[in-house]
Amino acid sequence: MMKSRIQSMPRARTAHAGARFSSRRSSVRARAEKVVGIDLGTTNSAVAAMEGGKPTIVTNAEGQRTTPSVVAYSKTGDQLVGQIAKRQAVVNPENTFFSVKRFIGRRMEEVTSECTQVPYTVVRDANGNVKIQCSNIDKEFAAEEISAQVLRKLCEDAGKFLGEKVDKAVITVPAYFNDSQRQATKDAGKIAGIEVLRIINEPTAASLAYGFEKGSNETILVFDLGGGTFDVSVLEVGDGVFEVLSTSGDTHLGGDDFDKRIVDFLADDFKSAEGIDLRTDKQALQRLMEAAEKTKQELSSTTQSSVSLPFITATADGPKHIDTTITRQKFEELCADLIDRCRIPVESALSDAKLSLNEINEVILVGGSTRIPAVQALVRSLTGRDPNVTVNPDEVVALGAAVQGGVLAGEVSDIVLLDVTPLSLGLETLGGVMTKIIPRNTTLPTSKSEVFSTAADGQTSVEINVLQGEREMVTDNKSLGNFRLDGIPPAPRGVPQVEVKFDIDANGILSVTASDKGTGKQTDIKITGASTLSDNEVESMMKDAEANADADKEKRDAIDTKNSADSMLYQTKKQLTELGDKIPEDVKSKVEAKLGELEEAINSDNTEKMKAAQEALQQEVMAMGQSMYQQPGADAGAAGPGGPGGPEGPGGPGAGPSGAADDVIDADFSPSEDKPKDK
Amino acid sequence: GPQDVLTRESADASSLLPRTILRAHRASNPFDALGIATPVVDDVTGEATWTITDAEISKAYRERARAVHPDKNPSEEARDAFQALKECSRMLRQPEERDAAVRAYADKYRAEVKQKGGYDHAAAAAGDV
Repeated sequence: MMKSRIQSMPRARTAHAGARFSSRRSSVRARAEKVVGIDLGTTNSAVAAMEGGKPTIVTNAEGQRTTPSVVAYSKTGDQLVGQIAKRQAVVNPENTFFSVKRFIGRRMEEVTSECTQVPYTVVRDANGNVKIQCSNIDKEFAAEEISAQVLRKLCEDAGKFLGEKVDKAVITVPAYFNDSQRQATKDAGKIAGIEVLRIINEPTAASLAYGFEKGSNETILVFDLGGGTFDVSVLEVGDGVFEVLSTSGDTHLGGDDFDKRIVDFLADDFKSAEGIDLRTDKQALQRLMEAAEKTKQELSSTTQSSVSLPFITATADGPKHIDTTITRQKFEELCADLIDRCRIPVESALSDAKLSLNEINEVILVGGSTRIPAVQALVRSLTGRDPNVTVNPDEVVALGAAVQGGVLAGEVSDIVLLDVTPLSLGLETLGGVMTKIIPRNTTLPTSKSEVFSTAADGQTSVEINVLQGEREMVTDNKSLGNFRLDGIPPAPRGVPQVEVKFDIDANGILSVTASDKGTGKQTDIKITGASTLSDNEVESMMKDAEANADADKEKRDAIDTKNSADSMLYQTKKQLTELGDKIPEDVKSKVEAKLGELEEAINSDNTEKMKAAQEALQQEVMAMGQSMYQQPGADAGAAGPGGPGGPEGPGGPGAGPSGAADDVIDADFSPSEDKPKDK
Repeated sequence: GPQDVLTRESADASSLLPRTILRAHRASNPFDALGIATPVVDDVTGEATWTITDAEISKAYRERARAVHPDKNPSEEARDAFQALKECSRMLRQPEERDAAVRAYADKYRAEVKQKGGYDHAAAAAGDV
């Protein structure tokens, strides 16, 4: 099929400043509710919230300030998120998903090398998008779904910490993320049941946290080297305005890559010595990766680190071990080209900002990988100054996101963030070239329109291929999606006027409209085509995730019910034996009947029946307690042992009347309690 | 005129600001859009001088951006005003466009003076320009 193209019409190209489009800003100006800031990192995530006018890190349920961005499924199908998932990675490498940020919003052909670096299986779906296979529950996940599970845990934990429900968030992404990756991150929030008020750039967030309480005017450079991505942003901060001048980066450069170099070094070494490639053994690979990360971290503070991996594999000769030492010098040698790659974005960010190095007042280091001495040395040599070390590189991004959350919630009034689009946006025109509409580093939100025409005589439709990137040729840029404008009246080429409007909202997310100025006919797309999920998919994943959350709750409820039923069964039986023939026969038989029912319910593993049987038994046990007092000549002491006192308690037989009374009140099945207290 | 005074002193100035910016932008007057001093036109030679620094432009831009950015004012008008404000600030930082804007302002000023039959110092003193 011949593709109808559109032709650039230089004379007709007009940029309409302030052109008005339909408002894409939703009216989500939350007032009272908490908006949290989330740094959804490649390897670790963090959450912060405004507390008493200051951004504060929110600790997770385990008491940690960061949470590993790891999700796992156990053999029994249980979902694990965070530290608990990371801890079992070695024994469950195929079902432990980490670094999924490298896959989010990407097409398979963009991540061929990443796919081979992870022990889990990454496959291509029918649309060419990335899917992650989980053998333990026999399911394929989109990267968005895995990220959604991390987000869900972060928000649930934050809710517990803050004492209120958390379902609104500002989430950060690398500045150099393209439209698909941003959209996908937003979708992950939606799947997790979170309203994402804003997607902001990580280095920008860092600058917000850094400059939040500073009054001075400064030009700063943020150097953000995280687990998987590298960003550089140059900002002007002053008078409450955080204005990004330029941004640059590398979405394939981060701590994971440094780890990989150590893994390869160890694996190559082992291969030449033993003839076995450990990288083909998923469990061995996982152990190597963990050891590599640890070694890398140690080498930031020591000059050498030992790697000890006993029983890494076995041959006919017996078990094999790795026991070696890596020096900092060796590590720097292994990673020299990676570290050197950090130069390029720094240089291009400065040149885009039209600034020289001596005009930069501060260099802020963000991301765990900036702890590497060689990285700090590079920053020093590039910028000619010592970087600012007052911010915590692991927390500053989440803190800044919380500040922006405060701005959107109306809690923080005197600050505004002026961010830019990191990559140029445009469309395909005749000859397979990209015509840029919005150049990179344009302050957001922005809108611009241009007029194009047909490339052939009698052409009645144009196909609009929306592109993002800096290269000249279409094929070298990222296609964000296609749409078609039909019904153009036949005319010689160059005559019809097709106006194409690009609009980027404050989230950096694009929408495109095309209209035929002759007929007024209009079509538009919200860019969701290329490597992101459709609205339907997001919807169904959202339902899925909710159902799973419900299922998890049910599972917990079932376990709790069974435990309490078991305990009640035991306690009641114990009481019956202890009280023996002091219980009237008719009361006893009633209790025994209900006991039987409960036992049966437990054996059949039926939660609802267990609950009902517990309630029924409770009634009979209370009746039993009552009957003890109504017996002529019954002494209070006889009722006492029914309580937890039992043989060891002070309320045993012979305890005084007051003690006995206490025992009755504290008894397992006291009337004021629904459930047994004592377990 | 009195209308101008009302705009500047009204307690509800923030809601009128987007309109002020848009009006100035439409009239190709980046100075009023940013709320900074306009060029000074010599009555005798007709030459225009404008000596505002980039730092002053930034300050003015930031102050207005804080008021009309969509995060602060969700109205459609504010969004357009923000876009106009960005353009005006960019224009004044680029030498060629800045010179063109100063010239355009001077031309318009001279035309107005001419229309009134010369510059009336007495009227100016009485505040009736």
